[in-house]
Formats: sequence, structure tokens, C-alpha cells
Amino acid sequence: MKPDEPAPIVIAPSGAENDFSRLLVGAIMRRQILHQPASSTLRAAITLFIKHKSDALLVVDGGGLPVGVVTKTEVMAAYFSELPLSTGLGDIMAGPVISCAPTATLHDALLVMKERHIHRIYVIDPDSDRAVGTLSYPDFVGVLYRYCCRCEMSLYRRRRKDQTGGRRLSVAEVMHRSVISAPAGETLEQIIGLLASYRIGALLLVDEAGQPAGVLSKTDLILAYRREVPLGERANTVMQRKIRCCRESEELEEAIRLMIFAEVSRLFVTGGTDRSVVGVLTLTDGARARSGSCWACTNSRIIPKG
Amino acid sequence: MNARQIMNTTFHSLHPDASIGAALQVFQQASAESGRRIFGLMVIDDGGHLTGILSMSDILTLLQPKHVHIWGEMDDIDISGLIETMGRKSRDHLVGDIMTTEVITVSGDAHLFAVLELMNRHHIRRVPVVDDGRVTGIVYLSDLFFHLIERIKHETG
Repeated sequence: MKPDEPAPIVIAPSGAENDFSRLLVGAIMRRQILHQPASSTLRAAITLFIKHKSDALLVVDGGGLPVGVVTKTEVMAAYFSELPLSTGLGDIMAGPVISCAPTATLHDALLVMKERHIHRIYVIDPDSDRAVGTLSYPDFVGVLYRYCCRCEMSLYRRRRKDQTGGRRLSVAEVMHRSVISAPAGETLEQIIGLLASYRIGALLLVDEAGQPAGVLSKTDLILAYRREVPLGERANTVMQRKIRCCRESEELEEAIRLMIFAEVSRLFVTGGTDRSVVGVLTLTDGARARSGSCWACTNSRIIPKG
Repeated sequence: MNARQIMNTTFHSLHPDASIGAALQVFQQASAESGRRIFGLMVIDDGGHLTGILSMSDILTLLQPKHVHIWGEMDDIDISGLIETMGRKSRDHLVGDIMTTEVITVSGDAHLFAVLELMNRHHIRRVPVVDDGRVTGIVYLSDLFFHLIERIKHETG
């Protein structure tokens, strides 16, 4: 579907109170599914993650039926355990596959994702037991935003009608104020442990003076694994030295544009006269704040509370 | 007629440690020198062993911005210059990071129809020829087709 085309509306069988909640998963799911047989290797999986800029792939059996999922988290665990890159995906995959039917409502799918602490849900046809699609938080955010652009209540629409413009959100209003960091001299093994403990995708690394020195993400780490960098290597030899930042006074639109260009899911936020890091802004939080935050959306429980 | 008789023995290749930027130049050079548009290049290591294939599809997939499904919905965000930015970012990757490693190959002795069957079954338009662990050539589907029509033109006329 082209971005400017309205999503097809499919009426859900159960009580819906607004257009968005009547949307079914099958109408907006991504039909391209990254998948590999269980016999495929870690090396092949990492290549797919890098090339497709994806965080997960579906593992299927010889008949093409889903048997598990491999995400960057499983790859991190394999790196931590120093498994050879020739290890089969069947040996490291997580299962069973958490899924929903194409006839599930977006709201129900979101609730499952929230309860199971997952960022992606696979869509499985109950008749064939085959995966027919996938839905991740960014997919959901994109659709939510499109609906809000068409919504009479949206700030976006009001701004376009009213050339004087409405008040725009700033980064400071949306960002998280807790920043997790680690010394840049830590080993890759220690960093992997920290990422797993905090359940985050990237860490800010600081030098001996406590100043930001770089960023190390799961993507950087799986690439290091693919290139057979030893676990005892220091983080500062692998980290990205360019820290993607924005000012807390920046408009949210500009911060999102920066993330799109840098292909990152988060920006570190600087503030004060010394430009120290005071927070983190994620793409999903930023996009969600621009859309489903008005009373119409929250009252209709499109976004699960909490 | 076998693969050895129809394969190209002069071909460009890439090293797994080459950058994508360097690979793009080889694609253009190979296309210019062979007089045909080259959509896939073999990746060969220092030992002369085939380690993968880098295709147009691999490169296009890498070029696609990660967040396209989000910004596609945000027409109030200025994304001018994004193509150039993606190009710069892609140049830093290595061929070995994104190449397809599971490569279908044939021996030089493989019959032309066996090669054709493999190409049809796997939806591929080129197949490397490997003998004694070393790449000796590459068979293109279009070459196979023109060899075939040369052989059968009198039968079909």
C-alpha cells in the first residue's frame, strides 16, 4: 500500500467505538516475513539482520511452519556463550512463537505485545498454521499517525488549517530522563550483560572523566560477533564514536528527522549550558506523542494504559 | 553441451573485506567492460574459494532506510537528502556483512539442462562454476538461452 492511500477498513466482529479500533491486524500487517529454516546458522541470521536492518526472524520447520523466533537478544546470548557462528538457529531460538490471527484487532494485538514484553508479533493463519505477516511497534505507530493526521481532533490537522500554527511538542516533553551508561573501557562481555539486565538496545559509553565517548548497540555487537571480535575486547574498539544527540529544547519533528537520517531508534538528549546528556528519546515514543495522545485516542483505549 | 562450454571465464569478483562503496565501483566497471549490466558478483577469498555472491537485491535492501515505514506516514517531516545519506551510510559496510552466503554452484561437467533446472528451481539468473574448490567461471541464464537457440534454430524453423 502506498503511504498516501488510506488503509482498508475491515469491521471487527466485536464492540468497536472508533475507526481505528475497528482495524484488523490483517489490514496493516507487513507481509514480508524474514524467515530461515532451523538448520540455518547464526552467521546467516546476522547477515539478514544487518542487510534488512531487522531485529527478528522467524524460524520455520521443513514444512514451512513456524517453530521459533530468533531476535538480536538470542544472538547476544549466543555471543555471550561464545557459540560458534555455525550454530544452528534451532539451537538458540525462542519459542513458542507468540502470534495472533489476521482477524485480531490492533488493540488486542497490542495488549498481547505489552503483556508478553515483545516488540513484534507474528500473524498466523489459523487454517494453515502458516505465518502470513508480522506486526511491530513501528508499523503500529505509522498507522496510528496516519489515522491521527486524518482525525478532526488532531493537532496536526489544526496546524495545517491554522497558518499561525499550534504549539509544537519539544523533546523535553517526551524524553525519558534516566540515562544508562557504562565505562567505555568495559569488555564486550560486560556490555552484553548490561544490555540484557536493563533490557535496552544500546548503551551510552563514557570516558574516565565521565564524559560521553560513544554508543554501543546490539546491532554493533552482532556485527562484532559476525566479524569474530573476541568477547574480551574493550567496548571502545567497537563502539560508534558519533553520538546521535539533540537538544531538549529541539522540536520533536526535528528529532524524529534526525533519527530517520541516522537510522537509529534513539537519540541522547543534551541540556544545560554544559550540554551534558540529560535524557533519551526513542523513535516510538516520539512518534506516539505526535499522534495518539489526544483525548479521543486515549479515551477509546487505543493505547493501552501504562 | 555442459557448463564449461557456455560459461564466462573472464569475470570480476569481490573480496569479502571490500567496502560496499568499492563494490559499487566494481559493478559499474564490470558492466562497462562486459557490455552487459551485471547484477551479481562472486565473492572470493584470498584462497580463491567462493564465499558468497553480492547481488543487486542485497545492495538495494541495505540502501532502504530503516524507518521508512514510519516516515512514510509523516508528510510534515523534511526528508530531502535522504538518498545521499543512505548512500554514504551504506558505503561503510563490508561485502562480507551482507553477501548471500548460501550459493548454488555447478561443476564444469554439469549438463546444460541440469544447469537450467537448477536456475529455474532456485529462481537465479547466474550460477558460478566450481571445480576442485575453485571458481572457474560463471554461467548466465541469458548466455544459456542464446546457446540453446543457436542449437535448436534449425529444429524449430
